[in-house]
Amino acid sequence: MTTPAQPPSRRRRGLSWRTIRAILRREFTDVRRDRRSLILTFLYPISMLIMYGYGIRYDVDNVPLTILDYDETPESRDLGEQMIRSGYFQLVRQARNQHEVDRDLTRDKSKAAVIIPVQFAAHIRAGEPATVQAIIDGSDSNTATIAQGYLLAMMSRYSAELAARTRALKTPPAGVQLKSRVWYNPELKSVNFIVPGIIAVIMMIVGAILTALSIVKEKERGTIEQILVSPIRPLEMMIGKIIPYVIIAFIDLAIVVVAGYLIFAVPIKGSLVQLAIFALLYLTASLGTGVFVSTIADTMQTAMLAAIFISLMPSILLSGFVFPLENMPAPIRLISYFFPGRYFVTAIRGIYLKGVGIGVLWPEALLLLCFSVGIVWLSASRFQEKLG
Amino acid sequence: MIASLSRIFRVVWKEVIQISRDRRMFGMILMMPLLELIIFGYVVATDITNVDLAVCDFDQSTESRSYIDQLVRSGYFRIAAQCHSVQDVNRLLDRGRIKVALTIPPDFSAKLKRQQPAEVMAAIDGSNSNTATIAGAYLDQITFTQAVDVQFADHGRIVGVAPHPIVSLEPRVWFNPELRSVRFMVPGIICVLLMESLVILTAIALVREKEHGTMEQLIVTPIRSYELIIGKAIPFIGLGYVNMAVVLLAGTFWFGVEISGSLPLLLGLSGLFILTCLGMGLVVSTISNTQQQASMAGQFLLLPNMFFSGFMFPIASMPPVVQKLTYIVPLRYYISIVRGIFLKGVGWSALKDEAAILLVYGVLILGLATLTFRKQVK
Repeated sequence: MTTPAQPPSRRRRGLSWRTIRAILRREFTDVRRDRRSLILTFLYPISMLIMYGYGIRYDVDNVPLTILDYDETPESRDLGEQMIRSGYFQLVRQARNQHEVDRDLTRDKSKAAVIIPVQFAAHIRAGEPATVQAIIDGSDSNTATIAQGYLLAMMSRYSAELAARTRALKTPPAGVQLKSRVWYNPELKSVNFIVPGIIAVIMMIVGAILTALSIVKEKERGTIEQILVSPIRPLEMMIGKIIPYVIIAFIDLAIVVVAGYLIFAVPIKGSLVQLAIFALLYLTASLGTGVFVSTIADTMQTAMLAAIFISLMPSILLSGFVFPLENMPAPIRLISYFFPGRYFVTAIRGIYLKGVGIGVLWPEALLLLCFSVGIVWLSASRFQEKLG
Repeated sequence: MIASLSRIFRVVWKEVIQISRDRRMFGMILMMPLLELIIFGYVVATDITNVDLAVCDFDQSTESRSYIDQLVRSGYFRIAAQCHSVQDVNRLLDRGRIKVALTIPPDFSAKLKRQQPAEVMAAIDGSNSNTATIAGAYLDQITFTQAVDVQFADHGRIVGVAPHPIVSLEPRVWFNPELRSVRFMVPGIICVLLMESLVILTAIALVREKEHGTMEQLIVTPIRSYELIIGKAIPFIGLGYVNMAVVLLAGTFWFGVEISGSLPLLLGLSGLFILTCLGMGLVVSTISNTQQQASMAGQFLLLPNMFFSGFMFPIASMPPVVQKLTYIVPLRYYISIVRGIFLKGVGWSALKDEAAILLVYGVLILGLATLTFRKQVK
């Protein structure tokens, strides 16, 4: 398609805010008419919050446990009761033999089993060490490691209490004692980790996917030709298309922050203003990506696929949103450095959970700035090229 | 009977040709297993080791160094930064450079030599509660079970000052002793791939007829609905099994994950799950009018399956209400079967409950879907 002869108004310098306002008016009318999409846009963050907030829980408590007590003395029963009372475990059954233990573990009825040997109480009364066996289902290594930790912690506690009570010891309790304190998230709630990350995902969806779809819709409808022959400059159209989504994104941000607090009790320790600034930086990067995608896709289907692949997937998988980055193999970690998601998630978690600000998070702020500027510049020039 | 089979065969052949011509679908078919192996094998399956640690050693004795050494040699921890003061600890944790800061007080070795309990303090970054709990578990494990070398001035060294617990624990890990996450994820990938190819791809294939308007032409031929459905499904069932083979091979040769149980049992029970997926694919195809809609609807159906089946996140960790809901997720039973066969080497007797549920599910959904399909055709 050859460039048509330029009408005189096109050659003016600078952006006309009147034109942009006109485009905005059209966008808002469009949005208002499409009631269903509008409701979806605002319902989406809440449904995501609920699905991820309730679905993604790594917290392991009430580990199903089978106890095989060969000793059947007050001491052994006491040990069993303490394990259940600790809240870490829930009793599946008191097994009568090894076969039942095997069945429980093999059939996924319990994740761990404790076997108390015959001379248990006798050893303790004589002040000698007694050994308890534990079998742990290692299928889910995560749960297994945690269950093993609980068992060890329980045994130490039981030992210490016993030592304090009996005092008939041949061996004195010496050794290293560990006192741990958990910072930032002392109740160890998974939601505190997930909710800030959801903000990143939603920003990406609104900024990249919805924006790309909105622009490509013009292409599909054919209305883009009309715009090309009008005095509207490509940059003005781009800004006009973007602004509604900036507004939507910030409304979504507010929804997630408030709902996160009301539904999941996730508070923000740091400054809301800094949160908004980082969100704006990340949103800019997402919008740039959205515009970029709109320049390479011709149909809405392609646009959606491309946007999901370039923006959504990396921001879910490679940003540390759910899966910790530090444990991934080096090549994959390397790839994550090229996407803005990881910097934003680090920053937003810092603000939410650690209460830090730009003083600590300046590297992330700087990188996000570079990303945003870079991608907006790239996509704006492509956009102008394609439509100019 | 023979005529029926030959009609089915013709539909299969037509479908295969159409697939080979549809470059986008072909691309999807190739990319899906590869992508998911990478994503779920490397990104999701993270084993937490080499946790970033900083130690403020105010004792600087042989004993304290021996303790730190135990932590590092276990492979669970890695010294990521130096730390000399409380401010360092604050800074490092705030910045996220370390996940655990250990402080060893100046009287550490003195206390040990006097045969008194010596305290150390750990500050753990709780942002990621999972990593935090596991790091804590590692610390407990090493502190409670490893010995610290104690050097006595006149009497030489005594090895083995660990808390002499009256009750000690001997843990054994079954089924996955090296505790590798991949062994847990690879069976899951097989399940998800099977579901994807059967629900999404089959639905797309069926909807393609609607979209191109060729559905009417098919109706006027002697082909019955069930022959059409079976014919369309067979290539994708085949594909499902091919994907399974690919993942099995990749699992064995690349990830080092082997099957403990019986392969024929796995293939057979997969057939039951296929019934359910076919049913779901059929339902998707009846509610969609374009291939794009089919693809979206299919993914929409797939997502809760992936989330609430125990594929990525343990069901036992979900709130009790949600746990009850997972009973209606068909993938939950299939994953249980596949993981049982892979990791625990269980046999038919252990799996017959799940198999029965899948059978009932499959027959119900497939029946329902065929009825709606027939109605639509009319």
